[in-house]
Amino acid sequence: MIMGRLYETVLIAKPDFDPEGFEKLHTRLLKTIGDEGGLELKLVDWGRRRLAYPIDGHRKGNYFYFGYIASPVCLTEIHRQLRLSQEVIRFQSITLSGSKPMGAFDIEKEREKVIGLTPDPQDEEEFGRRERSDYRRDDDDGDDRDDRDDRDDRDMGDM
Amino acid sequence: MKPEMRRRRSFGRRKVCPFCADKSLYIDYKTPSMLKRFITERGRIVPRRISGVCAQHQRNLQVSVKRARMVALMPYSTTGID
Repeated sequence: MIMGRLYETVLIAKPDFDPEGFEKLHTRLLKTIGDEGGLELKLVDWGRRRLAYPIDGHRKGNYFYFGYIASPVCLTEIHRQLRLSQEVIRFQSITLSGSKPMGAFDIEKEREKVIGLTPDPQDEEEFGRRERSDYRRDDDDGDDRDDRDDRDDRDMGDM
Repeated sequence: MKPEMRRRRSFGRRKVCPFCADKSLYIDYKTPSMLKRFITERGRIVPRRISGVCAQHQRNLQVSVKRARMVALMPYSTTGID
């Protein structure tokens, strides 16, 4: 009998991520979950948020929240795929329930447990300030060249 | 009021754990706005002797803050320069 647990994963995609590529990743994940008898319960798009600290040079990220039932083996596979993905810059999985046979899950009840609540909108003033200081980041400066490391006249305030 | 009396009163009112007082307050790493009340300006977790949170809830809070930090919903530290 396949045992499963209830998991939730928050993942951060690059601010300029390719929705199509992400969709592909998502289908792959669904397949991984499905193959092991698991089930996706919820997918919430938290949208684009400012990161509390830069990750890989990115100051913003697109947050996605997944809630699903899967086997532990499946979770390692999901993590492997997330690590391989070019779009994903950070992810974190949390176990929400103990180990149970896959069939023993009360889907509706579990779905309620998976609260994909969206973090509150960010403080407007602060956000506005960051928006301006974000002005010339590599992410959206319109060229395809990387930012140069040797120029520190840009927004490097907190480095 | 006598001076020594004032000194003795300094330990004041016992703080009540906000999570025990209000059962609807749910500690979750996905609500950074709520967790924000329990970190300092620099991003450190406020000790429970200051915030008055009970041991059990402080433990949950600590885990939540650390999870929130991991997914960049909360800062590990703030320099103040920014």
